[in-house]
Amino acid sequence: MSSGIKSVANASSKYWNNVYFPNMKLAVTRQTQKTFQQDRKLMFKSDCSVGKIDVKNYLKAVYDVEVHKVNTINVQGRIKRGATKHAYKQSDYKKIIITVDPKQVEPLTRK
Amino acid sequence: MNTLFKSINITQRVVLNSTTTFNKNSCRLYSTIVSRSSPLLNNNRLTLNRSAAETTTTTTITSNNTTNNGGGLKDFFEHVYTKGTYPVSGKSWEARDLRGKSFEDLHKLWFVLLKERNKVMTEQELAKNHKLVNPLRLKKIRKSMAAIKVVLGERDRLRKQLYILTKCPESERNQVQKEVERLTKLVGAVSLTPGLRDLEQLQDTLKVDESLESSIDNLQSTN
Repeated sequence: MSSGIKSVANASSKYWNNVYFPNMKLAVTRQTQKTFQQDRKLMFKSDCSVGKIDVKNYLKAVYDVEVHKVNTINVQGRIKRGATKHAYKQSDYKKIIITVDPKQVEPLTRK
Repeated sequence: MNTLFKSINITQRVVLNSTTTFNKNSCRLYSTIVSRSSPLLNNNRLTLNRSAAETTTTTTITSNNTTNNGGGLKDFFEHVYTKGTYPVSGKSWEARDLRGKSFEDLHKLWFVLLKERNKVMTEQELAKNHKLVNPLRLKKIRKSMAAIKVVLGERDRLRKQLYILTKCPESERNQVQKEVERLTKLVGAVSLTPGLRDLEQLQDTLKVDESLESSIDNLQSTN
């Protein structure tokens, strides 16, 4: 019974859960590209609303990269105070650390 | 075609010893976008391959065009600029540049811009004091993505207005008709329902006036 429901959910998600214009921001941080070849890990900075499975699907679809493992950390924006009393908060973000397949490890710097 | 090439934007050019070189990947993608002629002739190309999409329980991102062109994680990184060189960017895509383009082309362009934005943001993140050499690039990418959404929104609005036209009472009919005419002029001969052939056949703007075509043929034959 449960497998039947699962197949129906899969069939329906084929049509209703597709994102044709994804708008996810990913930016590599902390100079992790330098140690990428040793530990197969790369750290990204993104919005807090991004999930682990979103990242996996995004990297598969857009960059053609199989991601084995995704770790995420929510980071609160720091409160900054200047010389005056005026204080402001930097925006929150999420750190995403991916571990890729050993076959897809390559030097990331370009000529 | 030349005018289209003029509006190719956001390609990263490295000015080095007064010679310009194009980023090969970007150029390849742009050439696929630009190699499109009249929208009237290319209705058959508007196929949205939904069956190819992956099936998972959560959201899947469908990019039929970019799966083959995915260059790996290398695409997150820009060229290393040696001293004295800097990235040059062109004009951003505007809504008027994109209005004639099919859904497929806009979809391709979206993914080009998406990758470009990630690349520039990575460059910003890794740079000293988060300062870009050419900070206007990020704004141009944002504006181009917004223009795509504007164009798609116009098509969506027209589709909805056409539906309302069939259902609305007589008193509101004139007003809706005016809105439909305005949007039809704006959108032009582009499919409102990409991938759905049956509905495309009902669309007036995609129909070819055969009498007009034959008269043009006659004119050409006489000349």
